[in-house]
Amino acid sequence: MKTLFKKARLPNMKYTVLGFVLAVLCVLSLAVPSAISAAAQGATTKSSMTQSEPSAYAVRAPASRRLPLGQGHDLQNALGFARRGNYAEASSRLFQLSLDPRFANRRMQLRFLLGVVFYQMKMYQLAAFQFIDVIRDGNNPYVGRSLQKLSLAADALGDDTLLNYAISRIKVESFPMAHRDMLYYRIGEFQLHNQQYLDAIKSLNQVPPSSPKYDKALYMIALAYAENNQPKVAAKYFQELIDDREDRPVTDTTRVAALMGKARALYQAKDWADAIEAYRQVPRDSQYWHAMLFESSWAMFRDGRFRSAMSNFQSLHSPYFEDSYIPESLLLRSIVYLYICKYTEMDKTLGLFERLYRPVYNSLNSYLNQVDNPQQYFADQIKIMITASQVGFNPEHARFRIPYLVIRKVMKEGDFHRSLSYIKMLVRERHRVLSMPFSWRRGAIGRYAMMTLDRRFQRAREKAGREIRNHMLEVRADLVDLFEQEGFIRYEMLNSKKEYLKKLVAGKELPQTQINEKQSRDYYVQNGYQYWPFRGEYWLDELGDYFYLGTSSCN
Amino acid sequence: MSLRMVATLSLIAGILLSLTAYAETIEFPEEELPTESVLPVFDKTVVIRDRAVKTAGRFEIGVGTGLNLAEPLYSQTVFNITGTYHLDETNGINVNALFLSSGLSQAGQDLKSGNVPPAGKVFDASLAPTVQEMLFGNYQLTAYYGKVSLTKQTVMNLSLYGLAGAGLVQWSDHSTFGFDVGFGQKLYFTPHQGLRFDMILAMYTGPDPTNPNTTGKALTGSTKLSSSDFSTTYYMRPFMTLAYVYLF
Repeated sequence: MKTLFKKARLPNMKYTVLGFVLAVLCVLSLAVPSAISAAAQGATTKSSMTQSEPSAYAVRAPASRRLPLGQGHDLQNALGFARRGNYAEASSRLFQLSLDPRFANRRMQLRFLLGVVFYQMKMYQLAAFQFIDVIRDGNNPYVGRSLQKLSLAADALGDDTLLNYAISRIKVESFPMAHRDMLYYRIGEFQLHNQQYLDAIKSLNQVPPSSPKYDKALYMIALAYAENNQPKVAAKYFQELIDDREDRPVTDTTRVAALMGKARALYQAKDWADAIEAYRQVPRDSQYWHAMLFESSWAMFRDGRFRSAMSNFQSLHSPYFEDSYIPESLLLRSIVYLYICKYTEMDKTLGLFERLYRPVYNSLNSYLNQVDNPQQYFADQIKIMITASQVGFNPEHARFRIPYLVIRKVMKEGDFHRSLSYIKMLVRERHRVLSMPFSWRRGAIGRYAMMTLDRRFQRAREKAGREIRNHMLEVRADLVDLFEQEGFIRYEMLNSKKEYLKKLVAGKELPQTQINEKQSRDYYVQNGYQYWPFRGEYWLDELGDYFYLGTSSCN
Repeated sequence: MSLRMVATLSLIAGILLSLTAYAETIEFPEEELPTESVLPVFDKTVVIRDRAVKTAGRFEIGVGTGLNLAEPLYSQTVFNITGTYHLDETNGINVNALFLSSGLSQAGQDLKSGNVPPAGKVFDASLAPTVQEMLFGNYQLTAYYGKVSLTKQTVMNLSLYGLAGAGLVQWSDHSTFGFDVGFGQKLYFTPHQGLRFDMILAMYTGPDPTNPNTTGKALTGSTKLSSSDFSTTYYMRPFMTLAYVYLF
């Protein structure tokens, strides 16, 4: 490998051929994987970068820009450490060289190399910053490869901002073939986020079936069609994804997400019956089951299956969901009661809505008015999440500044989830820095790493805090809207009651006592099934299996 | 089968059929019936919410009767008073008092009257000291709470528990220490009332009426003997009791 590096000083054209031949010879004859090829291979895949990567370390420098002997020696030393897998020493030396005025004309090369070494050390954030510097500089031969590396580092970090920065500048053709699927996927995701649905579909369709991102791409394509108001096509793509995951476990997250997507698309297409059927296939032990329970109630209601919708509400409004934010389900329940003329129950349901969600609104409103600092939002959110995760936590006894069900709702929001994952990645990276040798930590590179990560950590917290606040504002606006709707529903209830009384006064025939109003059981459950009357206690294994036995009281 | 019986049965059947005619048969859509036996996933798994019978921090008292299952000489009938304080839904402290009958069993009567071989040999166990009461303090662990539909019309809550403890055994002329272990089941027909079945194994020492150790003294005639007149033995007596309990 030493030979390789010496030869690697040759101009570009020669290197490309010679470097590749030597690398192959090294691997074949010595069978010793080099640290440098590891730098290329180690990230995520084996690729054409394996061949091109050695050039990243020492070459690409035109003959006219060759280093003086002393400088070349320093650089060779640093790269030697990298080659031997001593990334700590390599990074430290490269960092020093990058600050050395003697290497001013090589700064971008050194930055890039430092970025690669950081990447190998799984310090993705620090690596990303080196690549960004190279890209910002613009006028150097490392921009293309820095963009590639930056997109990989950003993908590992899950940082949308960095990723968008990278993909907005990158040329797909110049991106290594092996990672191109990731690039297409991220471009599609970005376009979808910016409501460029057809472009997103085009990009996502470029992700090949062999790619690990294929299923996600398929989901995004279906989502793009749904957003583009083509729900039937969306349902077709969701079905394709379901078929694609047929050999996976029933609770496979992607499969269940596709089922939910299909059901939602069919609902969007007003195909209530098929939507209900798709919802029904969502397994009970999947994380989507709770959402399914509520969403399928809407489909049942729209399909006129009031009894089925009421059956769902029995589960949905059990204490198991007391810390879930589902105000709309209570209003929907009251509307179903309106349709079957159960005014007393309707009144109770509306009362429950008011009793549960008015304090939530008041508390949230007060918090939003008092707190403006995004960091505080983040700190409060995390504090409550940690408290809630502890053994013995009881939401009934919890006295938080922010209602717990709002916290839970925010927790499940995609953007906050991503921000939190990113923050966790930063924390992990910080731990990696802290676990480095003492000399590294106390050195310039250690101080730089800590300072960079701390600053990034603070900004990430602020971003997450802003997201939390935005979601809380959405909840507040949503509640205001729902309270207004509650008023309308109450009006409808009173109106219907008035009509009922008018008929009573007019002596028109009114429905006889309803079956479910009697104490005795005077109905029969079909053969083969056992009757277990509900007596007020909720069992986990019974959730989702309740059946409403009441009938319509309308005349 | 007599004509009268046939008429009665027909009448009952007619009444039942007429009731059926007024009832509504509710048919559930097949596709909505349960197809899975898995449990929904929540952050924290809680098997039951808003349980009908809440016992935590509450007292439960009961009175009942039962049998001293392995008692050969004396009456097997026992009466019991039980009291439990439930520390939570799982753990509790129980006190169980058993009152034993001192009368002779049928076998004891036969032995007393000499009706069993060898002919003419009399053995009057009523002259020996007998256990009168037992008082045990137990730790009670409720391992299971559930419900059962016994008649397909009504549902009752039930709980299964195990208990173990120590206490006093009061003989007619002295008292000894004893231990007990057992298990039981409660069937609640309302959130406050229920039946309690206990199966307890009581272990204690005491005089053995079949093994007198005082020469010249026997379980014949009319003279009552004391514990010191018998050798001591180790007793393991299973008790089965059924009590009505009320939860405060």
